[in-house]
Amino acid sequence: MALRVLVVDDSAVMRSMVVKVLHMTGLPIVEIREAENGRAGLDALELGGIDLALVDINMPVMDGLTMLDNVRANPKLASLPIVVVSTEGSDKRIKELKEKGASFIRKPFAPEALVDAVISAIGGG
Amino acid sequence: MSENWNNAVREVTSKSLEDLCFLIPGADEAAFADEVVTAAACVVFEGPKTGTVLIEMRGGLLQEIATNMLGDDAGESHRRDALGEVANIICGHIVPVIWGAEAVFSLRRPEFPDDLGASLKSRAVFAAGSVAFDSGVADVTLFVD
Repeated sequence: MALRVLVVDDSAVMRSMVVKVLHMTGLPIVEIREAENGRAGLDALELGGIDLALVDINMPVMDGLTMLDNVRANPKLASLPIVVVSTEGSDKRIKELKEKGASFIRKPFAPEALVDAVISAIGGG
Repeated sequence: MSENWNNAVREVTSKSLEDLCFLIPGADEAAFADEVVTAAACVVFEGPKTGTVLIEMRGGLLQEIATNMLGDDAGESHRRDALGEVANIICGHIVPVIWGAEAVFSLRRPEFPDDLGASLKSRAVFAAGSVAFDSGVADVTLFVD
């Protein structure tokens, strides 16, 4: 399965790190696109062709939780695998994300943890 | 200030920078005693408690962090971005250590005070800790409203 991944984070440094780690994972990634907030992320998803999104929570314009709600409410995107990548890792927040069908990984993360989260999100684990 | 919370600040700072930037703590902080703060960022957290985490960088630590995160092409905007991300991660990890993983906190986006955080220091300090690395020191202070 070839994966086209969208990385949504307002930090260019963090996007760059996530992209580097994705390339190190050995996952069959053929394309990585980037967006700097949830609104731009939704716009990128609506263009089509994305198999998986990695989404930060704390962003300007539109945060990751609002983006997740918008994705799940959109019939064309509702089943998209999403991994939330954030520093905010309370038990209640993780439970809320799971209920919305998202996987979670806490920053900072090891490449192996990102692989596990991606595999879990795309239904391989 | 509780020494337990000061230790928690040091431990979270050490682990965050080790995991994020591959920096190994343990250098002699006294070697940087004369170094001034070169950059600072703060993150406001809101939830069962509201407050601010301030991180100050002394020596060449921020440059090393940015280089480790991005490579040699880390310019000024990337250094600031990296500092904000470090502040965000330290805040996101220290708050549940102190108030528990059940508590839900929201973090505001990092800010970069022009006075390098000097104006924050009139407030009461809840916990603080410094961690020294080969290139410099990270001073982290937690203020609670």
